[in-house]
Amino acid sequence: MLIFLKKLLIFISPFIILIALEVIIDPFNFFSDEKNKTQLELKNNLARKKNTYLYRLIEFERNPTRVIVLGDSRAQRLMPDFFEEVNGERVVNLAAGAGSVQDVIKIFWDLSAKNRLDTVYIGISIEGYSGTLLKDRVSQAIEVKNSAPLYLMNRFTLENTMLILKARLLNQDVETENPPFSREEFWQYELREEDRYLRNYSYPVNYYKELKEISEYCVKNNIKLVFVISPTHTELQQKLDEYNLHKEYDRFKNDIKSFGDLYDFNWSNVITKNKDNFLDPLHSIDSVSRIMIREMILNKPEYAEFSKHNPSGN
Amino acid sequence: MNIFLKIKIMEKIEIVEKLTPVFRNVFANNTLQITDELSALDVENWDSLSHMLLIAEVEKNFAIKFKLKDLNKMANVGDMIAIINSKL
Amino acid sequence: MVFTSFNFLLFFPAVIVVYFLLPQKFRLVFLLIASYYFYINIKPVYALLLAGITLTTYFFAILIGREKSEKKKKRLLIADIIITLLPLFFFKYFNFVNEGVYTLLNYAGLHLPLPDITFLLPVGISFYTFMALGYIIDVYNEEVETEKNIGIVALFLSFFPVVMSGPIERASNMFHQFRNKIEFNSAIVVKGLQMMLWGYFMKLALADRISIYIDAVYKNAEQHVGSSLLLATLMQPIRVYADLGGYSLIAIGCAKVMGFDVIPNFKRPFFATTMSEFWRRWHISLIKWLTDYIYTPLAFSLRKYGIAGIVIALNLTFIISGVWHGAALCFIIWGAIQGIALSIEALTWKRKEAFEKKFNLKSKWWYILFGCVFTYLLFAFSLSFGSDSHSVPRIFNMLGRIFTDSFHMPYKDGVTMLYSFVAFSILFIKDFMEEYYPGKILLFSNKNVTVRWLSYYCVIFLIFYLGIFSGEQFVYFQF
Repeated sequence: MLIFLKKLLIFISPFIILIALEVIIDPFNFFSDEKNKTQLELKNNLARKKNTYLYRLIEFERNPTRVIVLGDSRAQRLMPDFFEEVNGERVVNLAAGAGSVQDVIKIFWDLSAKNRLDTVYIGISIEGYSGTLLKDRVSQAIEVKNSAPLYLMNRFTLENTMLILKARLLNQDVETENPPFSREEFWQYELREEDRYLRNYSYPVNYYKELKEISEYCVKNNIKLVFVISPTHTELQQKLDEYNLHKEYDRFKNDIKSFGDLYDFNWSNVITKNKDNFLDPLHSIDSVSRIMIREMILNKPEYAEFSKHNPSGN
Repeated sequence: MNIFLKIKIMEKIEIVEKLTPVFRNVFANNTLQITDELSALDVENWDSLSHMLLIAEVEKNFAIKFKLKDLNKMANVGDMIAIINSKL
Repeated sequence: MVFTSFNFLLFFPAVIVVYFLLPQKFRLVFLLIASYYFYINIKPVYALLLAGITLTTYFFAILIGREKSEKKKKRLLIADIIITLLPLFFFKYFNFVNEGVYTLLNYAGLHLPLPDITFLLPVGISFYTFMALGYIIDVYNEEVETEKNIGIVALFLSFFPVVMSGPIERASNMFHQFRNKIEFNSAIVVKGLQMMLWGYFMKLALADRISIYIDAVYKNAEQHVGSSLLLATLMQPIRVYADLGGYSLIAIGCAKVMGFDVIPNFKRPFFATTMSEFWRRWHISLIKWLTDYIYTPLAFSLRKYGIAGIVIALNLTFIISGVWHGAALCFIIWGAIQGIALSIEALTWKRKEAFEKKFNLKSKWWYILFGCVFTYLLFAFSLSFGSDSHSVPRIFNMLGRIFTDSFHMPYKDGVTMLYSFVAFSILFIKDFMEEYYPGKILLFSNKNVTVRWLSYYCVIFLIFYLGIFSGEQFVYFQF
């Protein structure tokens, strides 16, 4: 039996080494904060980009704030710095590219359970508020961040540990990828993507229910719930006509108004008519984000159509 | 040779003679030879379905009645012959 | 605890180490304690039920063993069967029967409010109930001697590798093994660990992965196009094979490590060319149980009706099999489909034999392929009656749409489909080689230790790379 145990020990030794590496390198800062600057930069370029929810949820837990931003890539552009510029308030942005409303809901419940929240900004849009877009990428991240064994046995942890190790050993700089498209190509690509979203739109019965639940929870617990529809270029806005979705759009907005305050920046105005204000039809530039944040914090809607929360709907 | 043994051997041969066509019919195999050790593992198409048909045919041919307990005691054809013998 | 939980990954090595360190005379008691610990970890209250069934089974077996009168023996047997089945009936079928009775009363114009009791089904109850029944029937039939040692009976019914999802074992196979003197044998332990490793691969890398796609489609069946429904339906047998087959393999391997040989549950089912053969390769322990304790007595008492008797016995047996799986009409239909298919095969096999012999079809690879594909398709479609919704009209609607929907691109979940394909290919190639070219390529059983270890590492890597670990991955419909 002893010989067998010895062989067994030799067999599992690589795994012990791997686990030790994972604990030492700790790509998602599960076990402790990252103090080393070079290491932090590597983690930001690798783990944070590759598994953004896992990384940022753990990051938030280490340093929670009372104000958070949730949503997709548009909401992601509402940078924490811009908030701080206006009123010094510390904000964490947990929105992510291709983030779905499902992701938003899951994150909200996970965070509100353990943290005191004052204000929650939710970036919302008709493309996201759709019954055909239910992908959930957050549940797995939440499970992993709550369980050490799951964290250690996770493929992403292993992958990022190896990548960070490789970068350290070979003294590499991890570069951010450059998009393969030119600006004009990407512009057209985004428009076509929008076609796909709108063509398959269906009313999200489940999202209505779940957002209503969140809204009621916020009222009960004194959390300010603010919805924001980021501006898109008028070329994109016109697609609503193309797909005849005005009734659905109105219904969408009425739903949102019944959940919380709404700042709708997405209408035809000086900002949205100008291509220079946009990186692509969906995403506006930083100066626009600054304007948006300023208007929301100070409640001085100029470029926004503001609607106060109306629980009874319409 | 003891006369009782002779009768026993005779009976066994008779049983085998009578049993062979039954097997051949149930398993659709005209060249099948039965031996003491023959069992379901050796014959294609001998499964729990055909086994029941086989049992019914054997009962008809030998004018005997098996009990459920007998079924469990039949591991091979040799056992079956012994049980048939005991009922004759 | 489940096999795929971290708790089990700690529990199992601990149990094995203590097991082999203990002197033989303490091992069974230790296993009994470990098994109850394992079971209590699922839900403590239900361990009481398991203990209760154990006690009744033990005592009735003693009584039957002592009783001389045939009539009294039969009465004792029937009494025990009823008592043993009561909990199963209560937990699993009460509401189903209740609803049925309620609907009938409604038709008759009576509106009686009947109590609706919903309990969580005690884990493993379908399995250990069958094992207990098997033992008592064996005692009655004098197949097995009454077991005087209550510890052995208790261990038999609670044995942690098999208590949750089988394989369904027999007293005749396990009792004498429990009494054996077990020496530590590294070859046997390794064999058991190999089985567990492969079982984990099947369950985590394939079953849990492919379930993501199937569940995404089935849970939202109305939103999906016919081609997606078709794809999900075709994947179902793979999922069940990988799930139950993988889990069974872990159970069998686990028992093997401790020195016990448990009946196999699956034998490369997708290489069956007929449904009859399929059911000799799929969920073997269940079919064996049903054959020995339901089909055989039934067919035996109906034998004077010849082939008609067989057909009735077959259909009844498989309907019971359906009911065993779940208390809903859809499962009954599933069982009936198996029964009908097997009946047709029983009725036509002689003509089929003759036809095959005439053209020497059995040696033609394309004929074998045709048989395998046909059997697979038949089983895949029958499985849709076991799918989530449990609503027969919905199932028929879904099946109809598979054929009537105009073609659209099926729902695509690239990662899931790719990983599932890789995992399934590996499983398929292994089964294929074992089926047609056994012994040709040896990885786990290769003489060279490097090859063996490399194979283990590869499989472990694949489990981590392709496998699903977090509890649930909710991926819904995305166009």
